[in-house]
Amino acid sequence: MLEVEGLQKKYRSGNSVQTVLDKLSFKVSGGEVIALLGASGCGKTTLLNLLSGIDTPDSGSVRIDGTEIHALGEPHRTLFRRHHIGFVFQFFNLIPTLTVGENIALPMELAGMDPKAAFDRGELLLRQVGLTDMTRRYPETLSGGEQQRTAVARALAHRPKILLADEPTGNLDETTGHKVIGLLIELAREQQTTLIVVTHSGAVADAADRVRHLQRGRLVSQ
Amino acid sequence: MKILQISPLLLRAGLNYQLRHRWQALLALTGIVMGVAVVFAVDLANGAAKASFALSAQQLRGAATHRIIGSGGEISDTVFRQLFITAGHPPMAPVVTSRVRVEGHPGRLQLIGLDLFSETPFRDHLPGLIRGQSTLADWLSNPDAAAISESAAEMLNVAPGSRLVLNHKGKPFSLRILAVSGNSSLGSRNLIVTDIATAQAVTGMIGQLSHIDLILDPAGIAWIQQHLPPSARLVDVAEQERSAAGLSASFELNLTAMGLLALMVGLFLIFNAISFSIVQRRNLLGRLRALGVRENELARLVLMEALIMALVGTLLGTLLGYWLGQGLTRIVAATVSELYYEVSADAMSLSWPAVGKAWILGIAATLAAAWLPARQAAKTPPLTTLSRAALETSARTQLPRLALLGALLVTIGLAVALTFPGGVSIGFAGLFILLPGAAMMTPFALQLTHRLLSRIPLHGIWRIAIRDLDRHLSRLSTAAAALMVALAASVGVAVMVDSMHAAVSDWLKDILSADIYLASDGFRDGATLPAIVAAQAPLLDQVEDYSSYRNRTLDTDGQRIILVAARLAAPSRRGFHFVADGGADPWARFEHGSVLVSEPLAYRQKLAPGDVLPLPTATGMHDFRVAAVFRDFASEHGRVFIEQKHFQRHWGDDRVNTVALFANDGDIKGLFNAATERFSNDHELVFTAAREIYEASMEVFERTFRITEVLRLLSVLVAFIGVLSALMALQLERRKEYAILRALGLTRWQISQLIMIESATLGLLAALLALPTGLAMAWVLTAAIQVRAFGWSMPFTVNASPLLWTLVLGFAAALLASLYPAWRSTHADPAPQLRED
Repeated sequence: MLEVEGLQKKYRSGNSVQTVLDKLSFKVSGGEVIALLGASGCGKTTLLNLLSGIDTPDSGSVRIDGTEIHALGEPHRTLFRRHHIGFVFQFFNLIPTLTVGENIALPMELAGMDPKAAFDRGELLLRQVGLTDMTRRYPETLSGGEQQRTAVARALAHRPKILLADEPTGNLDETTGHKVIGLLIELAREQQTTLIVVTHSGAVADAADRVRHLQRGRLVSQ
Repeated sequence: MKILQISPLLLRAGLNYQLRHRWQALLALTGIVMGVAVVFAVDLANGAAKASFALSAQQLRGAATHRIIGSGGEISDTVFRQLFITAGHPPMAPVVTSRVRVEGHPGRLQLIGLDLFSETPFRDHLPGLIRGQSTLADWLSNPDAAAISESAAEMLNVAPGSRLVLNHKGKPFSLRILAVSGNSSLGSRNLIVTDIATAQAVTGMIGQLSHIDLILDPAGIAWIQQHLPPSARLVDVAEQERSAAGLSASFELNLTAMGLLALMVGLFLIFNAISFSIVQRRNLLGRLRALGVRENELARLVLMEALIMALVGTLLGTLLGYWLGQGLTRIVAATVSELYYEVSADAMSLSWPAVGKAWILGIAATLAAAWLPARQAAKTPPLTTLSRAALETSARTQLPRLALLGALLVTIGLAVALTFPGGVSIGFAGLFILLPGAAMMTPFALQLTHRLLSRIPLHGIWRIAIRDLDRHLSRLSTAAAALMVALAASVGVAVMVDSMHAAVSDWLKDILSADIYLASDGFRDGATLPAIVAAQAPLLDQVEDYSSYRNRTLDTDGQRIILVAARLAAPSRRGFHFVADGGADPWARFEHGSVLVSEPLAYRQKLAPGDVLPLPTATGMHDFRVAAVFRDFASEHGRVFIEQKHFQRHWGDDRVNTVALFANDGDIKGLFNAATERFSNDHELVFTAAREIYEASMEVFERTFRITEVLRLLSVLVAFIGVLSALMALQLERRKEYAILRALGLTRWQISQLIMIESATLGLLAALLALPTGLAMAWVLTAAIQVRAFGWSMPFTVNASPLLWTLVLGFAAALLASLYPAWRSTHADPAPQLRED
């Protein structure tokens, strides 16, 4: 269960202050898929960063299964992210110096899993995302769609409680984007992982359990 | 070890990154390899000199614990006889020793004359040289018999029965090799052993001994002190050796520090390479942070990468250092043999403590250089919270603060070096604070330069190139700082050597005021002039005035001082530059028995005009008042000038080494002809013009500083390779940017121009910044370190040549570094670069 309460974030630039998130509150149940829509620069990415503990709010709280993540110190917040949160980015953000298999194994290894077990699970996930023979290849040798599928496998590898996806289809063509988002939702549901997807795509919104719009720092449901 | 606790995959990600950015990794490796190699080579060369000295000292000393020496130098052999016939005497052996030249062989060897009947308790290995191959009777019945080791025989190309012509103070003496021993140690390679009477004949020390060796326990010490005549002194052998070894301590320290300077330049290259890699893979580190990698895990990753590089770099550095050490040993051996004591050119051997030191230093220095970048990496925020522009802005806002801290460090460094009490180490400590301080000021200077250049209305490529200086400030500034430090080190050392060169040259010109110098053929080895020549040369009609000099080496409580008894003509006196003259006329006090003390001696013993300097005379210690302190580069250990008549009164020695003649009406040719006609037929004399002495002395100077020059060139080489790889890495990293420019329509030539302009501007700028930093370093080296090490003060001389060379070097290195990236960027297909994530 994800509980957000009174979340506020402002950015200062010189003398002007811009409120990006204005006392945001919402709840998401375990395994639920939420699509988050909004215009560019409305604060969607900022919200994801606050939900994952990458960024800190000016006020408000983010609770994940009862743990107030912003009450944790930075090192503990990092550990919490390592164990409980997964990420899929628009620009894939794979580690270019690791192979596809290693990219997927990395979060599991960081979470303390035995390297052999991590590698085996990585293989399984690669089969699930349709990249069976790609284990030993480096990211730059893959197409955009393949890289994003790898990113999906990596994000789910350590069975996170929450998966945050920031415009995961934004850098892909429509057909590939459909396939990737379908895969993402399917695997998240299979693992009972809460999925919050920032998107501009109507198709993604259609596949979600709930859709929320971010406007002037507040969430609006449609 | 906590540093080793790191996820293997994380480490693999880091190492793969290094493999993919080979130029950067190579730069860091170059810094480590060159730094370690120079330090290791200097250590091996210093170690070789020390080991060579220790070995020959050990061979000469044997089991002796103490020595009796003459207060004024040599000791009469009657002292030995008196002590030897007194009941209850401890074990004692007379020794005559001197350095001699062997005809047809460069350098000098140690001649040692021993009394074999007294030798056994002292040096078993020396009598052993003649054992087995000849009998005692052969040894004693041949007054020209000598024994040498196999290695010496090989070096001199002689065999038993061969003759060896020695030259001592200009006098030849032929010896017959009676025995060649199997002892092939390097110490005995420089040793010629004879009977004591033979050695006395060779050295002209008839009835004299160099010293008497003793094996003493406390009771023996008491016995000797009770029976010792006032003309003799008892000294501890170990202390005497320490002082002799200490003669070259400052020289060694200077070498070590020059080696450390090369390591420091290397450190900056490592720092630059690692910092650059952190800035470059900020995005990658951010991704890892987003995946849950903790701050200290990232720091550990960087340190681990550095550790692996340190291991590889130190391994290669020690291998290169071993090779380099052999060359350096040859130069060090030549210099140390010229100035201090004999060292074999091939005395270098692999010393495990030196290897250990090089490894510890290489690894510790690399980890220290990686520490700040590791902290910087640890602070990388998780992905996307900082854009590239925000990063540059943040870096820019910190520049004034960094520059201020740098200025503070420069001030502290100068204050420590110039004002803090202490030895040469304090001077170097100041220098090593100053350098990082100057490096910290470089990014701010880079920014200011950009502001200045941006006011110039530039067009096209030039405008992009100049703007890039500011746009890539965080990446360019460490490369510029590393280049600046490397070039500054080169400027500093070059200006220091130039200052020294100018000071020595001026000093020589001042003191060499006479027209002709007259000395015996063996004057370099201390030969004196025949008394008749010394007395009659000044009386020649063509002589307007004259000065005469007698040199003696005094051993005073572990210090060796050259005492010069002089009769000084007015022009010779004008050649003295007093750094402290006590106010009133110092020459009047000199005439009345006070002494002139050289600056190094005054610095070491904290002497000022009016102070008292005790010296061992023929009749025991005597206090001499200091009349003045004069600038002197003849000896770092100190010289004391005393008026001739006072010297004769205290030492009973009326010999003269050199007579300096001033020609009547400047008729040098007439004087030369008259002097040669009058004396040449009967005596082996050397007539030397001031110019020739000047040139010979400057040649010695050049030889002495050859090693400094070699180390400076090594630093320049480190800098050159460093700059080459730093700029190359920088430009290669921007391939995508150039691909975009190509896509926008810039021609290949325009892209090449852009890359070359940027690199050359950066190189030139770093070289310009290196000039004030190098001059500050040179100031510390001349005004603090040379004074602290040798007691030499000298005017600060700046020649244009090293400064211009620095500018050329910075510019050329940077331009050269841009050629490959320019070629690569213009010949690569831009399409894949544009698609790159």
